[in-house]
This record gives sequence, structure tokens and C-alpha cells, in this order.
Amino acid sequence: MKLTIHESDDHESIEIIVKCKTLNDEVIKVLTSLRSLERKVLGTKEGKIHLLLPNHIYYFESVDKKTFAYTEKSVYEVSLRLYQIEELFGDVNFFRATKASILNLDRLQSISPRIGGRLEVKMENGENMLVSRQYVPILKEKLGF
Amino acid sequence: MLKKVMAYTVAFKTIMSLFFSAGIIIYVVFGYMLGEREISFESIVQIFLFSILITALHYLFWTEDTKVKLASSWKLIIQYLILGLVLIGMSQVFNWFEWGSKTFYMMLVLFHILYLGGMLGFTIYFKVLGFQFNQKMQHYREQNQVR
Repeated sequence: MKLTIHESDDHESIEIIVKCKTLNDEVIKVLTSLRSLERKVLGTKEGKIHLLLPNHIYYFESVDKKTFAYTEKSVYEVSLRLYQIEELFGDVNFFRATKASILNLDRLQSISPRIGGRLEVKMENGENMLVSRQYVPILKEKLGF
Repeated sequence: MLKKVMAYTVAFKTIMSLFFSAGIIIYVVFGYMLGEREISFESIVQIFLFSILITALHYLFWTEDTKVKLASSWKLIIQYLILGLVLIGMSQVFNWFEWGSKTFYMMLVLFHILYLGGMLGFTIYFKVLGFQFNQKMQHYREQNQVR
């Protein structure tokens, strides 16, 4: 990967132009890294790349070593791993719920404790998700218990 | 792998100890009310074995990685039937009391009171805890909106 920087007084803001042969995984990873600085996520769906605002994402889930972002009506594949998402958004509304999922606290509708120390959460889109016993303390800390 | 087995064993022993303690306490309290003034070695062993069974049922039905995918109400009913049958079986094998005697009916009532009481206790606890969680979540959201 070649990186060229043009420094000039003519440029009022930072502009990044990516030149590539095809929009392959490597390019998407570069774009994802750049967007993550702005706390935005790049998601691909049906070959198209979409810019996702964290607040529009209900949860992230890892399935078969692939990570997906779930919005109200759509599912996007993202190139970030769950631990990277946790690092990026862990200090805001997102929290690790299970080994394979990260939920947006702002998109929870209700929380119900379950036997075994787990929590069942109902998302605003009507989906029910689980919070594992080992991650309940993280949620509690976020909520100020 | 060994680490996992050790962690699992410790967790199992911890839960089993809790059930064992509860069993001893129940025996002491209700035994005292029924005029018992001592506990035999055999009774301790029987309570110990029963604690293992309850812990096994706990792992079978209520842990995170349980393979039994049933509604909680069904799990409670199945657990109730298993416990009831095992207790009746143990009472006859170990000669706790005679089938159909006054003590038998007293123990039957006691079993139901303890089981229903336990369920009611858990239900109230979860309701209160759920209320607290949702209240905190509401508070968190309000604070976020202010920010």
C-alpha cells in the first residue's frame, strides 16, 4: 500500500482519496480503519458499502468468524472483529453481552433477569438477546449499579 | 482443558455445598419442630447425595450452556416431578416414614410449601431486580440525552 501526503495551505480540511484497482477486502479494511476514527462503521450489504452510524446499530454479532451489524431492518457485514468494536465503542453505549455479541445500550427496550445470573434483553426491534453471566458486571457498571 | 475441568468442578462443588447447607438447615429446623434432637450420619450422607442430584438438575436445566431448550415453566414442572419422585423413592428406601402415614402427608405438604415458596421467592427477586435494571437503564438514557 502506497501512502502519499500532500501538504498545502490550499487544503482547508483533510481529504483522503483512495486509489485502487478493485474495492477488495484490503481496501475495505483501510476504509473501515479511517471511518473508525470518526466512530463510524463501514458495512457491506449485497456488494454495496454503507456508512453506519453507531446509534443506528442495534447490535454486532459474530457468526462463523464474520462480524455483522444489525440495524432496525438490515444486516451488514463489517470487517471489524468484536474485540476491535469493543475497543472503539466500549466507552460509549456498546457493551459485550456474550462471546459473540455486542449490544447497543441505547437500543434496549427492557431487561429481565434469568436464572443462572443471565439477563434477557429485549431490543427496540423486538428481538430478544441474552447477556451472559460473565458480562453482566460490565452492563451493571455502565448503568451505575 | 484441565483448567476448564477444574473451574467446572469448583463451580459444581460450590453450588452443591449451598444445596447441602440448605438441606441441613431445613432438616434441623423442621426436625426440631417435629421433636428430633439429633442428626444421624446416614441422614447427612442422604442429604449429601440429594444435594448432588439437585446440583445435577441445576446444571441440566438452569445453566447458560444447558442443552435443554424448554420454557422455564416446563423446566420447573419437570424438576418438580423428578425431585418429588426421588424424594418419595428415598423415603421408602431409607425408611424415613411409611407410605400414607401422617408424617408422609406432612412431608408432602412441606415439600410443596418449600418448592412453591422457593419459586415465589425467585419470582419476586427477579421482578425486583428487573425493575431496578430498567430503572437504571431509564436513568442512563436520561443522562445521555442531557449530554
